[in-house]
Amino acid sequence: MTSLDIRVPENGSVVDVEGLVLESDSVTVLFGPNGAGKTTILRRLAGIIGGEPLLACSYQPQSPYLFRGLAGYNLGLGLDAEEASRGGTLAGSLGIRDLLMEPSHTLSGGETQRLAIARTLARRAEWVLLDEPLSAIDTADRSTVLRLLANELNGRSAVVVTHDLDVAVALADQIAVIDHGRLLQQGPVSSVLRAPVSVEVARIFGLGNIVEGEGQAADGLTTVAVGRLVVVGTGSVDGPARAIIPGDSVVLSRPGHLETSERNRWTGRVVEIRKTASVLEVTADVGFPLVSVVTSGAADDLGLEVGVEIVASVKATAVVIVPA
Amino acid sequence: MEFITQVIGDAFEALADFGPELAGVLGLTLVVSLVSTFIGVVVGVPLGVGLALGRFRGRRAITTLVHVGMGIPPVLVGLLLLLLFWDSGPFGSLGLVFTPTAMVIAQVVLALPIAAGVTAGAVGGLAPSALEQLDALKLPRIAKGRIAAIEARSGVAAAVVASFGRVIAEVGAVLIIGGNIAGETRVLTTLIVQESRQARFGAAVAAGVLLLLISLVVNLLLGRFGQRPVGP
Repeated sequence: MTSLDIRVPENGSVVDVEGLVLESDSVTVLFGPNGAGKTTILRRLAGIIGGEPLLACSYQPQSPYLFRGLAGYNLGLGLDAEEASRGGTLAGSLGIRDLLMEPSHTLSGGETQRLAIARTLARRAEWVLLDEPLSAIDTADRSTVLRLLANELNGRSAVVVTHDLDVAVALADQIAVIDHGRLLQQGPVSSVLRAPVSVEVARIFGLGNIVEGEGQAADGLTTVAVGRLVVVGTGSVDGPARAIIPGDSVVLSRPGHLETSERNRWTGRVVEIRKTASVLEVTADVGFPLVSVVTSGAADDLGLEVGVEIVASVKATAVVIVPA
Repeated sequence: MEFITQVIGDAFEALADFGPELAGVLGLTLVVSLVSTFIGVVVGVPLGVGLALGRFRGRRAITTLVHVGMGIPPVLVGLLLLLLFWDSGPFGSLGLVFTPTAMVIAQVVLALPIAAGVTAGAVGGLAPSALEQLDALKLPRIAKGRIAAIEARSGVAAAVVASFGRVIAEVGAVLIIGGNIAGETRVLTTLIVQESRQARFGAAVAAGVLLLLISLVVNLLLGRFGQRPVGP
């Protein structure tokens, strides 16, 4: 395990990360929005900027570049014979084996990225550093490539930069949340996702609902008064507080249901239903706008549509209260 | 107009009378300019690649020196070398004054900074993603430089063309260090100076036509080499 301080001036702003913990034999994901400074940190680790490399690594930049020549020539660049043969195998798993005899400029962006992934993984280096490894891969092949990447990185020491939550969750053992050049939170991925330390972190994860009110702590829980309503969650905050309510922890039902164990229970009407790729985001006005994530099957069963009255409930353990 | 027609007629006559003397001048011009371009390119192109990719002490100073060299007046180079090689100068014992060897040295001094400077510009101007990928691959230095030069090969070809252009067009340095001695150090440019000074315009124009032809042929050859392949 290493703990690194990284300070790099970057066009006006400064990346200033203290105590970034990188564990050997595990995958650390640097997670954050675009422009957060993740790439700068990775480039510093690889020694592309700011001096000698901080890690002995095989590094793949965000925009892989193929040089003139065959794709196969590019695959072998910088690899010894054994690594190159591994690269060939990986190229096969990534579905680009047939392209290796083609001139490099005929490869698409996604194919270029797969070739780069194969080459970077093939190299025997203590650390593997990948910058947005799936940015150019089509949605159709994304899960295949992600699975291969997860398998290959399993047990290796790696640092992966991404701004996609699905990539982060699929690959990460540890996650480090970065924004504005700072390290906001780090730790095992499940605990960071379950308990963001701040509203900023929660926002970065896009976990949905953040409401503000006056908090009152008791027995490890905090009750936040939001207008006439209360929100109960984990955390100890007395005074101004924010409650982070993950959208996928909200359970919707129709009025008249049986009592359930949830501490948070609000009634209101559906004001908006938004369709995303796989789920519906249902916004209900329960005294504040509350977004919940439901499957379209569940929405049909409940007969959800704009104007319908619903009951929204969330277990207190799913809600995180942080100081405002 | 009659004058110009006369001169052109004389020039054709001179070309038609192409004899051993003019052949000697043409041959020396080719040898001196090709040898000096070759040396300038063989040293200058790797130097340019190194300046573009390397991170070493003195890189800035050398870059500045190269840029100054790209614009240095040839007569000044001729003068400095004349002082160095003069009989009582520091390298007088080499007996190089008024020899083709000294002319080649002068031309190398002129060609090398052009080769290095244009190459450095071309390699340094590669896409940032290409340069970062080169760093990321952690290749041995020579391999890295070779890939960069191939990637920037249009620019490197321009460096060769520009170096040759500087050398073939040059008159000041070779005139001073070579002395324009008939049958020994006379080249086409110094021949033009000589003939114009004596108002033998036909012969001067004939030499000029030969110069243009050399330039054309060499550039056509280099142009083929530097062509970009189809595609991005």
